[in-house]
Amino acid sequence: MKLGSEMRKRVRDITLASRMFLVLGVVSLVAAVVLLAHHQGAFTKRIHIYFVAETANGMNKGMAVKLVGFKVGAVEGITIENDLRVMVALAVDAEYAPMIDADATVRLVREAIIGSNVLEFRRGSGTRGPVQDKAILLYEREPSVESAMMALLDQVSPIVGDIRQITAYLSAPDSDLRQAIRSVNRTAGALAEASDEVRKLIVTAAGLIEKGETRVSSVLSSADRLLQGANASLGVLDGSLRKVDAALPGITSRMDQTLENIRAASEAVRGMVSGELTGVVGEAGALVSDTSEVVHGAKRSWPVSNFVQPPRESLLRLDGGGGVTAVPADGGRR
Amino acid sequence: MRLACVALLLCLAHGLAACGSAPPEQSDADTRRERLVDLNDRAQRAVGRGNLRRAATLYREALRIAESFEDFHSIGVNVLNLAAVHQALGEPDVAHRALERVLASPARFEGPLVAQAAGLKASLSLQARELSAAEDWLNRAEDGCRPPACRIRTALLVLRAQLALERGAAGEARSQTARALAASRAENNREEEANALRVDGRAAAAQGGHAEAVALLNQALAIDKQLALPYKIGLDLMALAETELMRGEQQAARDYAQRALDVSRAAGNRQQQQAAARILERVR
Repeated sequence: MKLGSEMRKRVRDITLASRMFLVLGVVSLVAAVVLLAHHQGAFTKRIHIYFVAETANGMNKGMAVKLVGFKVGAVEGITIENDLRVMVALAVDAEYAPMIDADATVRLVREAIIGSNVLEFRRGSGTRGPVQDKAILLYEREPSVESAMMALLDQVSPIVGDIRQITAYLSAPDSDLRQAIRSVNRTAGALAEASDEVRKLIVTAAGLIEKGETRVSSVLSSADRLLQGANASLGVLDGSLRKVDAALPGITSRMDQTLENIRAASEAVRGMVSGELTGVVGEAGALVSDTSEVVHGAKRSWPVSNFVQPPRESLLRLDGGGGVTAVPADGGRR
Repeated sequence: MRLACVALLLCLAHGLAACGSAPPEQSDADTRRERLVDLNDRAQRAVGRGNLRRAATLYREALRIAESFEDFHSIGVNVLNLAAVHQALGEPDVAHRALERVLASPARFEGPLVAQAAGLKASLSLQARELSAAEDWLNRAEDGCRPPACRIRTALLVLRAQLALERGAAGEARSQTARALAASRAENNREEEANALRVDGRAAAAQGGHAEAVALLNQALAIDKQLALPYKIGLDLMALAETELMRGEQQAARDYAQRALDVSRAAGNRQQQQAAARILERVR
């Protein structure tokens, strides 16, 4: 009898302890979940703001919404309307609502050249008070780096084409310019010969009329000086033109090469911009950034931080030959 | 048992909370340490690219930061790296000055760092042909080098062989290089293998074995070319020029000396340029 009552008492104790244990466990778990939810902003009061866009390109659910660089909310939903327009719903922390103008605009911007897209509130007129819950704001898309680059390339391409045509014309052996230069050369040579002849004639004529009309003699000597000057000038012109003629093919071929390089480079850039590379790079950049952040955060979090060795500098290995190599003394990286 | 279960549950719950929480903010010391490690990494990459001037600048900046919070391990590491870079640039005075920071107060630094600093001093003294100073520093380095923490034993063997060679003891130098060669091959240390082959080649030439010397020096040259080490390539070519000169092959000596001059000019090592120019003068 006594044994029976003792056993019942022990069973009661065990039952009580088990219940206490379960209650304590559940309470701890609930507390942890509540703490986690609080950290994630589950209890933060939010308002909803909407805008309509032509396309959902560059936007996704959960994307950050910023105000002067501060994250104030996130994209809550993206839906297609009947008229094929896109309705985007933003959930914004209520505490920031008084800072957003009722006529503010929402803009899709990129945080860096290679960075993730974010939505940003742009200042309104400031006369219509703060934004209200369920307000619909105007949306605008910031001109992207890609489109700016494309526009620039579109401007440059025809110019490059024109210059290529001009250089091809200049360097062609039978072009008008080259023929003109050759004509000038020939004319210059002929003029030089002619001027010599004229000078000889003048000398002869001057001798013949030396004793006659003195005024004619002086005019003829002036003409002689002029012709000598002209001859010298023609010599200079001839030399200059020859130099231009000799240099032209080289100059034009260099110019042609340079332009070819510009054309090839611009085409490559265009390929990169219009192809999928930008998206891939952008995604990869964001992924690398996110991964790095996650790894970095994890490394600093308990209990991982206890297992991660703090980073240390590498000591270069002593070189018996007196040189230096990028090999750490321990033979490998940290 | 019950207590253990409760403790386990509590640990799990708190663990969950801890994992869910944001990581702690970085302290200023952590930020500085990260900057220090980043500078060190960039400097090491610059050494790998052969951009020694850039590496020296980065190591100097890292040293400045390490000194600002008196982290003696970091100070020691950056001093040694900086000195090695200046030695490779042919600026021994700057390298000596840098090493003084460790050797003037060795008690503050870890043993392997002090041993390596002494090894560097020995190497610098050997280059300046100050043989008794080189021996003193080498003895100090060998005394301080205790495996497994100390990993410079092979380099010290090469330095010991060089010292013997500079003293005219070619036979002793060759026995030292044999040990150095075995050690370098055992630990797959290609840099030291080439260094040992170079010293062995020079010692063989000093003993009159010119053909053997040329073969050994060409082996060293091949390794240094594989590793793309301009300073060492210059040393190999100068040693080959000297060897050809010894056996009266003026034209071959001139070619090697000219190649050494070209390499040292391209690498920007003034000291080596002067040494190559001196050999070229002797050949003309």
